Amino acid sequence: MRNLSILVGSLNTSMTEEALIVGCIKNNPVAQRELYGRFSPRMLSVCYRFAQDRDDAEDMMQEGFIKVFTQMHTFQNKGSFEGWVRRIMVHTCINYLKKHKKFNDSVDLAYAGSVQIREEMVPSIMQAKQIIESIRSLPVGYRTVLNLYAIEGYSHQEIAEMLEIGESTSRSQYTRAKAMLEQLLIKRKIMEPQKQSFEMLLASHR
Amino acid sequence: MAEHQYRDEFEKYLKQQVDRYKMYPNDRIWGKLQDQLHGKGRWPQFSFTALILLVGISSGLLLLQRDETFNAPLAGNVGQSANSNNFVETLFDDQHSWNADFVASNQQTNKSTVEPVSTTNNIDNAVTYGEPIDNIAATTAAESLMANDELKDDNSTGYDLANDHINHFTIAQPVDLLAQQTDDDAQHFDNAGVEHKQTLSFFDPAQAQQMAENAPTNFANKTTIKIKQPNRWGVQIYAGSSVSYRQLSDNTERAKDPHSAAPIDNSYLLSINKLVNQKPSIGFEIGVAGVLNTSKRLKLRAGAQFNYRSYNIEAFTIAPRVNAPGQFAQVVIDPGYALNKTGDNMTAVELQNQFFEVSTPIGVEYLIAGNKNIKFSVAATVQPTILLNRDAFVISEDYKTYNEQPNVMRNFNLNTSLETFVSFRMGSVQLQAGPQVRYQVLSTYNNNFHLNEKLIDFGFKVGVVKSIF
Repeated sequence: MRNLSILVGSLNTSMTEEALIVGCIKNNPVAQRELYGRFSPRMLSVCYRFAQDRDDAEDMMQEGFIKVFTQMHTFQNKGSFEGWVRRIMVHTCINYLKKHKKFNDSVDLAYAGSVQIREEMVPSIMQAKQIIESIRSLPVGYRTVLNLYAIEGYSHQEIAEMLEIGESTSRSQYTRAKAMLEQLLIKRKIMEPQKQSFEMLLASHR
Repeated sequence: MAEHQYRDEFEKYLKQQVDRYKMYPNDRIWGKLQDQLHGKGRWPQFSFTALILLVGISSGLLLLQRDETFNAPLAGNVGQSANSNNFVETLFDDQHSWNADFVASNQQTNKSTVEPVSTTNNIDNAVTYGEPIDNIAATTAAESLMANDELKDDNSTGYDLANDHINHFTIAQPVDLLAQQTDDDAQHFDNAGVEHKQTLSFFDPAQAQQMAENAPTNFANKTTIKIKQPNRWGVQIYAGSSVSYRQLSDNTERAKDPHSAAPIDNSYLLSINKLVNQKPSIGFEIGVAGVLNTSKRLKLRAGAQFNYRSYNIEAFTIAPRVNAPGQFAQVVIDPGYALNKTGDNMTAVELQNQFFEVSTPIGVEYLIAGNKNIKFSVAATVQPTILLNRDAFVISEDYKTYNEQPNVMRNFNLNTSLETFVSFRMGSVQLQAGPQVRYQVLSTYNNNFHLNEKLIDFGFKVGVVKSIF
């Protein structure tokens, strides 16, 4: 193939990540399937945190993987490949929410302060699942900002650009989202109310 | 994007927890992904190919089959085959109302020839105008038998029968020949219609029926009546040469996506069409179509067509990029070709995008003006099209390079064409020649790509139309 050629054969018999990338650039269905199988569980979890429900999450992930496969040739090995895939997924989720006006369906980002959390939506299955469901129970604007800032690591400036809101709005929304989530986690007994620091909480779950 | 920097322990805790969690998607998601990446399985391609084959085979058969024959056993199934009492009359009426060019091109064969045994001495005794053909057939059979018997016994009855007719009971003599044989009765042969109707008139049907009943049982199997209908169908074979232009535009839906893998090139300021430097190239098309005359001026067309389209792009070579070892194997990634020259070591090259397509044009043809020999017409078609190759160069997301991206090419497309042409009659065929323009309705790329590309072809097309039946 003109586009790609392997200079040094460090590829193992099992498909390494770079072999997967090469295969996907060649539009090889086997490589695409392998890459999908490798990343889809984590990516669906990412999408699920942004989505209203699982169906939406799967739609987001499907759209995200289409972008991953069609833009594979633009990956320039700056940072991890999974990080690149994850970034595409996050952007896809944001676009999906905008496109389907999910922000409007629930609570506008700037006016979400008085929204009460529905505790019954949080299932008591497992720790990680509970936390994720707790995040998902937040109003869409809150959870989007919280997901982007606390979990995906975007700055408030980047969030402001992505969501087309002011940077100060992003900060204030995050503060409220965080307080709301803390309150919920305490009610669900995932977090101790008297603990002001999360160090003990973190240590207890290690 | 900023690196993951945990703002405090709360964020760190959340991150750690949620990253532990995995969800396994439904298998149908992968199925949908495959559909989007590689098309929806083989069925559409198969059906499309089958359609093309069907049209091709039908056209071939039409070319070979010039006559439509009614194999009608006498005194038996003839009445069922032509149970309309006005069948013959209708046939001739149609002949006069059909498109003149088809009639003119088949003057010799269009004369419907119900070919009875040449009982020319009975033509004068016509008793019924437009007699039902079953009666005619029965009468013909009866007379044939009678003639045969009488000729065997006494060849003096006056029946003007050829020997092969007598021996094989085969009706093969055209009516217009009968007309020649009865020139002395010119008053009955003013025109073809009257000629035939007079010829088809016989004497007493009751007697004929009786004669037919007495006929040998294998008689019917040996007797055929050939009826040639006016030509409504034709086959067109054509070829054309064209130059292809393309029009680029941003995919507006895709452009709303804030995600971009790389910053857009600075030179992309106004329009993508100003950023690229492209030249048209020569293409061609070749096809076959069935033509149906629906009226004197309007014809319908459907067929199969192969297209070759191409255009050239000016680009510049770029040195290959080698990924640093460590995280990855040393993979040389050819970055493709640059749209613009940004360094002294970049060499200008001319890339060619070629498209091989198969389509099924379906459309109409309208006669604007003309006479028997020269006509001026317009035609328009829609052409469902399948793309056979996927190795075209496309512009990257950052508008900096050309790369081959087979996965962004659209499998199925739709073209439209508009053409005008002059047709000349040359014997039994028509030659057609004229300009045409073809426009690709859907983008060359799928909906997930950031650009839309529409191809426009301007060309000249020639064709031959042969009337079939």
